[in-house]
Formats: sequence, C-alpha cells, structure tokens
Amino acid sequence: MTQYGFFFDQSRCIGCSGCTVACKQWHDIAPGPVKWMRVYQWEKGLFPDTRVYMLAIPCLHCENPVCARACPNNAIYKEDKYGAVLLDREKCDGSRKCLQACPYGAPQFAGDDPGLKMSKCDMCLDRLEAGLKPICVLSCSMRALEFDTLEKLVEKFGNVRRLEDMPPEKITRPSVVFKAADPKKQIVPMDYLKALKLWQKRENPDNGVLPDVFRSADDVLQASPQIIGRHKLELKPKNSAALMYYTTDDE
Amino acid sequence: MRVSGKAMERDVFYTSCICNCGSNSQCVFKAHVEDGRVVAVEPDDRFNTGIGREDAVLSEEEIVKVRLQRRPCPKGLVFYRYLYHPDRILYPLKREPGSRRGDGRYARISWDEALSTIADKMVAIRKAYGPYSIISPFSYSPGSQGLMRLFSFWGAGTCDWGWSSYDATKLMSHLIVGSPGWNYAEYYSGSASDMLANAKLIVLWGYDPTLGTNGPAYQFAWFIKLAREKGVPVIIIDPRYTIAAEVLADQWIPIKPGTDTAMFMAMAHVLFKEELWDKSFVETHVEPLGAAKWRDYIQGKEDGIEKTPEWAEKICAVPAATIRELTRMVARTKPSWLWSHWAVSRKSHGEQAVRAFAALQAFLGYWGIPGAGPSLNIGPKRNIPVKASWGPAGGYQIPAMFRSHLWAQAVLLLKKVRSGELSEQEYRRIVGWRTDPALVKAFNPKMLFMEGSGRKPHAPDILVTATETPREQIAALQEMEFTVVTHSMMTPTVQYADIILPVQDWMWEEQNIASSGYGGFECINFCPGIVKPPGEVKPATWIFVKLAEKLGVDPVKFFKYYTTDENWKKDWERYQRDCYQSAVDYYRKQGIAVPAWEEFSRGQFINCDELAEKPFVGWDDQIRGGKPFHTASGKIEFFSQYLADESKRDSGAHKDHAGKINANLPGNWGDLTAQPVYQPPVRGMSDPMVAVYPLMLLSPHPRYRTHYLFWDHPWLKDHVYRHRVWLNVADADARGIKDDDMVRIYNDRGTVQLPAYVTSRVMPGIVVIHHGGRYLPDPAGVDVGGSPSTLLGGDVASCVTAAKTTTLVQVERVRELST
Repeated sequence: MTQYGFFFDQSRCIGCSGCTVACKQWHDIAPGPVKWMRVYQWEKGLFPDTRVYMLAIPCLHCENPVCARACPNNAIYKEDKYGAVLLDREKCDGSRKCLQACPYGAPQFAGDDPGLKMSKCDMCLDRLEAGLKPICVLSCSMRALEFDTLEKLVEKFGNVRRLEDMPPEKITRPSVVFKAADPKKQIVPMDYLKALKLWQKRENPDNGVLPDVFRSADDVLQASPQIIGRHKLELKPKNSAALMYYTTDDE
Repeated sequence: MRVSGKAMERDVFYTSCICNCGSNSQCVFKAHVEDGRVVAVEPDDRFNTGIGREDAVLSEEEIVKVRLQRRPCPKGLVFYRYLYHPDRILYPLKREPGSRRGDGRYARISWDEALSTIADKMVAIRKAYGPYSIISPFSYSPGSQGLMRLFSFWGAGTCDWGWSSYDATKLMSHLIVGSPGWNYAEYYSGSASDMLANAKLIVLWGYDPTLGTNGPAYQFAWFIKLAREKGVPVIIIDPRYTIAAEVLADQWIPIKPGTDTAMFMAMAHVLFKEELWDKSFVETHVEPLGAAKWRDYIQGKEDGIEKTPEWAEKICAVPAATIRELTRMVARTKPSWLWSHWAVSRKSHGEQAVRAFAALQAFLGYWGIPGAGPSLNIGPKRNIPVKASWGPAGGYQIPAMFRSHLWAQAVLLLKKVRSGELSEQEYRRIVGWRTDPALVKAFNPKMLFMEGSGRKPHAPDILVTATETPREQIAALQEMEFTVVTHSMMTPTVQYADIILPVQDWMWEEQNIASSGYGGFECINFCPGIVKPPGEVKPATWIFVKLAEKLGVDPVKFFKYYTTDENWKKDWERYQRDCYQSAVDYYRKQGIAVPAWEEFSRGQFINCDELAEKPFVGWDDQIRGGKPFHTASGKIEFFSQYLADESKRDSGAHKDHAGKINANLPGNWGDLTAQPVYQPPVRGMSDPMVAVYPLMLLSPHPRYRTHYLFWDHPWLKDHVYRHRVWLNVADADARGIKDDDMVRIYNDRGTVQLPAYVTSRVMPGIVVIHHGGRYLPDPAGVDVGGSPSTLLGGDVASCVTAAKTTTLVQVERVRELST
C-alpha cells in the first residue's frame, strides 16, 4: 500500500469553504452538518495582536485509524491502494464510537438523532480511480491544498504534521502535511497604543467635544475572549448546531 | 473495493460563470449534465491538469501570463443548484386581483397575455401622462439594453444615470484623465500580473480580494500572496482586520472609515516637505497650474491649515510617525503598488478619496510605470471587442433624469414640487437631475419597468442593494399605476410587480460569450447554454423583441438577427458568432490566431493575458508612449476648471471640452470641490449625530452573495456562512452582548435585528452588516432579514455620485440565542 494524503497551507487559506461546497456538490450531500471537508476559523489575541486562523480539514486518513478500532461493528477499514480510511455503511449502526475516538471530528452525522449512520471523506476514491485528484484540492482558489503520496508531500512541503491548537498526532499518525500561518511583522513602525488613543477621540473642530469612542483602552486591550465568536479551534463540537457554528464564516 | 459516486462518462461541457460578482465570466467549470440538468461541476482543468498547487509546478513567467486554471469560488461551485431553487419563477405571472403589491400572490398567465397587458398599459400611460412617465431604476446599467433600446424606437420613456459600484471612480476618471469609463482603455489602472512581476512594496487601502472576487474567484488575492511569498512586503490599511489582513499582509494598520483622503493628503505633505516627490514626472505629465495649486493647498497656503501628518492623525487615527515613515517608504521603494479599488470611494465624499489618491500617486511618479499605478479601476483593460451591432437604435433620445440611487426620492418628492413646498431647483439638486432643467415639469412617473434580470442575470435587487431605504422605495413603488419586473427569482423587489416576466439564466440556459471582466485578468470564454430552461422562462432579449412587436416596433429593427420564434436559437447563435468574430478580427490584425468558433464553443478560450507581450500597465501609452490624455490640457488634471465655473451648475447634462457628456456628473454637483480636499464623512465617526447614534455602520460586499443574489441559497447561507452584525469586543461588553446574542441595530431610518458576531477584528465604534441582506420586516417594521439598506439612505448632501455604504447607528441587546 502507498499511503496518500493531503497538504494544507494555512498561510494561504482564506476560509472561503470552496473546498467544502465543491465536495458536497460532487458527492451530492444535502446542505446541513455533514461536511466531509470542514473549514474552521478561530480568532486569537486582542488588538493589536488579533489573528484569525483557518483550517480546512477532511478525514486525515490516519496511518493508525483509531476510529476503525473504536467501531464495534468493524465498519471502518483502511483501503489498501491509497490508504484511504473508508466506511462500510451497511455495517454502521450509528453508535458514534468512531466520533468519540477521532480527535479531528472527521466522522459526520446528518443530525443529533441516535442511530443516524456515519459518513465521511472517502478521499474521492471514485476520482482517484479515474486518475483525478480529490475535488477539494482542485477547487482551492488560493492553491492552499495538494494531494499526493505522503512521501512526496513530505519531500516537497516538509514534515510539519500538526498545526498549533490541533491535537497531538503521535498516536493517530494522520496522512497530512502542513504549512503554518505566516508571522506578522512591522514593515512600517507603528505605535499601536498611540493609534488606539487617537481612535478613542473624535475629531470635530466645528462642533466641540463629542463623546469618546470607548471608555478606556483596557476595554479594547483586555476584553474577555469568552464573549468573542469562535475564539478557539473546536474540532469536535458538542452537536450539529455547534458544528455549524464553528464551521460557518461571518463574511 | 467498491467505488461509487460520479461516473466519468456522462456529458461534460466547459462553461463560464457570469454572476456579476466582480470576477465576471472568468471562472470556468466542467459541468456534468444528465437530461438537460447539471448534476455536478468540476473546476477548470484546461491548464496544469491534476495539479492542486499550480504555482509549485510553474515559473513566475507562466503565472504572470496566467497560464492557470480559472477556479470558481464557492458561489460559482454551487450556482447550478440555484437553478432549481423553489423560488425560481417559471411562468409569466400576474398579481392576483384583490392582493396588494408586496403580498406575493400571483396567478400564472400566458406570454401573450403578459406582453399584451404590458404593451396596452405602456400605451395608455404614455397617452395619459406624456412621454416621461415610465421609469426604470438603474436603467443606466448595460443590462438594460433591452428596454432602453425599445424606448428609442417607441419614442417615449426615461432613463436614470449612475450605478452603485463605481460612480465616484468614473466621474473622477473623466475629470482627471478625460476618459469616462468602460469604453476607454485609459480607465484601467493596472493588472495583477504587473503587480506580481514588478511591485516592490504593496499597500492596500480598504481592499480585500479574499471577499470580493477579482479575476477568477480569489485569484487576485492569490497573486498578492505569491508576491508576498517571494519577499514583497504587504501592508493593509483597513478599519477591519480582514481575512486579507490575516493572510495577505505582513502588517495591518487600522484607519477610521471615510478618512482616507486625509491620510493621502498628509502623505502628499510629507512628499513636499521632504522633497520626495517626482518633479520630472509632474512637470511632464500633470497640468501645472492645478498641480501647483494643490501643493499650495496641502502646504496650507490657501486656507492656513498645513495638511501635516499631525493634522491627519487626529482625523484618521493613524499615528503621524507612521504616516511619515510609510510615505518615505513608498517614495523610496520604487515601484510601490498602492491600491484602493472601490471601497474607499463608496462613502460620503468618496469622490475625494479617488482623486486625492490619484494625485498622491502622480506626485510619487507612480502612473503608467510597471509595478505601480493609481487605482481608478481594474477592469477589462485591453478592451478587446466582443460585440456585434443589433442594428441602429431608434431616433428618440432618452433623457437621463435622476441619480439611480435616488429613484424613490425622484418619485416621492414630486408631490412637494407640484404643491410648491419644494422648489424645482432644490428637487434637482436632491435627486441629481442630469437633463434639461425644464423637463422636471414634464416628468410624471406612473409606471416602473425593472429589468431585474436582463442580459446580466440577477442584477441587484433594488430594495436591498440601492442606498435608499426599502421603506422609501416601497412607498415609491406604491405610487405607480403599473409595475413590471423581469427576473428569474422571487426576490423582495419582484413581489412589488403587477406582471412578472420569467427570464432564462444567461450562463447556464442560454448561449453566451463570457468576455473578460474585472480583476486585472482578461480572457474570453463561452457558455454553451447546456441546461434545459425550466417552465416557460425566456431569454431576456426575446422578451423585448416580442414586446417591441406588440408596440408596433419592427422586431428586426429592434434586433437585426431576429427571423422567427422557431429560429430563435439559431438567430442567437449567429449573433454570438458575429460577436466572437470581432475578437477574432482584433487578434488577426495583430497577426495572432485564436481558436475558431467550433473550438471556442467547445471550451477552448482566448487567454488574453497569455497572448499579450507583457503584463498590462495602465496609461502606458500616455506615460511612456507620449500620447496625450483626453483632458483639455492633454495631461493629468487635478484641478477641474469645469467645477470651478459656477455658471455651469444646474444647467442640465455637462459636456467636457471634447463634447462628451460627463455621464456621472449631475447638473448640480453639490459640495464637490474643484480640487481634492478632505471633507468629513456625513454620519461618520465625527459627526455630531454620534451623541445619539455612536456606532458607524459599514456595509462591505459579502463573500457569499453577489449583492442579493444567492441570499437564499441553502448551500451557502447558514451552511458555510451566516449573516450577523460585527461588533467590537469593547462595544459588545459595554452593552452586555456576547457572541451570537440577538441585537437590534437602529437609527432614525429604521431597525434591523441580527445575531451579533463579537470580535476584535473590527475596530471599536464600528459595526459591520454585509451588503445585500434580505429586507424582511416583521409586523412592527423591524427588518429581521438584515438589509443594511434599512439603515442607509437619505444623505444626498454628502454624495454627489458615490454610493453611500456607511451611516451611524446604535446597537442594543435583544435576547440570547440558544445554540
């Protein structure tokens, strides 16, 4: 078996979900929480260090698929040509043991009702067999994705196997290579605290003093992250509604 | 091993997306079709087949030549599913007797009954109310060729002027370089290829190509990222920490919205003070009196106020030291690619931002050189013809009366004019009257005919994308004796029609050439019309041919390719072939062979960027080639003699020195000045009204809609995106608001209710609701769909041409949503 896998360039992903919808229309999956390819956005830091990170994540077709071991019915297996982790839907009884085991939230369910069968990314096996790459990879307008043998991916893009905020990869050995988001730098010197003070005041020479934009800089600099939307990477949301919340964009 | 899913043997066609998103026709799909229905699409694979990360296998030269797949965005990828949406209009419809406009109750009628009813009404209304009694808001759009052409033969009807996207840019382009827009190559500033190949520093003002599509999907963003990856620094100046700020930029600098002009002027001040400006460029290419006058103005010699960085920092909140350093950097790092696009101009006094930015770049010497260029527009830049004549138009000159944005005011205020409450002169100023002042007396709008989906599919839905409030527009609609809309979907505006005519989708259901588009990329693709049109939907052009016939206009004069209804498809194809031939001829003259029609119509295309010798550089002919600009002086003009001459004000349509109508200059140009100055935005962060409405609302373009189009697409909304109001953490905390709480956003114009997106990604004092949300009033009149138009509108004094997409609001918490 040759293990195939994905490359994801976080420094390029704009979080547009093009991969998600390309996948869903190709595989004819109805709108709703079944997203074989999911795009997460999460916000970290407060002004002026605000960052927003993106992660497009299908099933990572682990070399050690813990989901398969967790399945009481042996419905999940590792296919032997590409190393895809596949589901035999007939055997699935909807126990969701796979979802409990998978640290990446790859097994997908159409809702929260018990007994619903799982479905998941199948590496676009139909396309692979026709000599084509997965539809998500070819749909990315930022060219942030690639698909190849894991060996070639590592050779081309390095051996980063986990992004910050993702779960450890040692046990699962996911078939994926990453490039992390770029660091920020000051091209032009900028005193951001001074900028914030300027922002606080309203300039109006003709009309006297207007109320400040905010009370104190601390309100901006030390706000509680708890009130911020999507302030963490939640790969395993507690239910379908939460999954939609974490994989839905606000643009 | 069991392989299920899409077989690869079914009918597959290449086609192109034309959803008027700002990419316009450059994205390409391979569509899989079964029984006339699209069942799946794949992105373009005509280049670099099977490669995910194309740039990994290409040289920079190949990328600059755009030997690249035209990958669609998420909207495009699921566009075909929209064709089967339950709100698709399938038959001609007539409002049910007894129902009111807006109730949405309709009965199916035949095409013959629909067209006869419309023709009879047009004749009766013209007879009763005169030749200026039929209006068509946003008729100025190229999509309205059908109705406007019909008017020209029929001898009556009106049009308006202006469009929501680019009016400030077009006006300024006319004043600065003498080129009034689309039809002039001199309107276009630069290309992504040139930027990637030549820029040494990239500074973006309010520009986020990861949201609006520029070129195929987000290809412009990708090009900026490629430039950054090869070491070109990128700075983004924006009140939001946009996705572009995260992905494309090394550094983010927040600026108060609507104050860009102050920063441009302060940068000019630094150039003058530190002798950093390009004297020889200015001497050679800029009209000297205006240049000297503006220098004096910037240096405080006209009004005693030096436009220093210290002056500007209080206005725009970018520290003076940063303005100074940035100016030095852009002056010394040659060439620097400073780019704003249209967002900075779609604001109160947006014309000034366009002009001040262009002036700044002239003093930097950044016009017409590779790797730089002021952003008047990125568009179909080489202006390759892809057109064929429909035959000569009729003899009636249709008066362009009012500003399209203000169509409801133009209707509603007439009562006050007639009663003497409002002077005709004041009426003309308010509505942006652009024709003979005497025609106000004869203007009697009683019928509205909206081409909601004309030759461009799914044009903006006026209720939610114009900048008047839906409330005012509905009141104006109710004033009409008769309303007709052509469209493909049951949108908010369509439900105010008495007769609805269902239109074919022109990229999926009709053969059409998809030529070029915005974005600094250029190509010509073909849509083969592979989908079987549902119900009795008809091509937009056919509708007007038949209506012409009903009105006694020879259909062959209207559309010279027309023979019979049975031959429609063949006639249309002849027309398309002639359009294509014009592009073939253009290239033949240069000795370049392009695919024959048979190959072209099967998916081969004209890749204009590949055929060009070098990347497009705006004003290359003028700056390096020595050709004069179209202005009176033949040079770049920053002082408008025309606007300085008060005698021309309110005298109807204005013509430039060459006799061309300045299509974007209303008769009375309000407070627009002769040279670039900073005018604080009305309802901006320093407007006294902040005492009541302390938050400034921005309504940028949405990522997952084209204006209103796709609003109700179940594969997009509440699936991969949601429509919420952005609120800074400090503003949210002060109001006890957490993420996803339901909030009300209100001002004196209306109230909108939406869940909150609490974030640090927008500066305090600012809220964001994306453009094109649905207007959905509850019984109390609260817009629970969330159209920013509900809160915009009205500020005519602050906008000569610019579409105003900002205002002031207050926000309060309603209740917590359970997630």
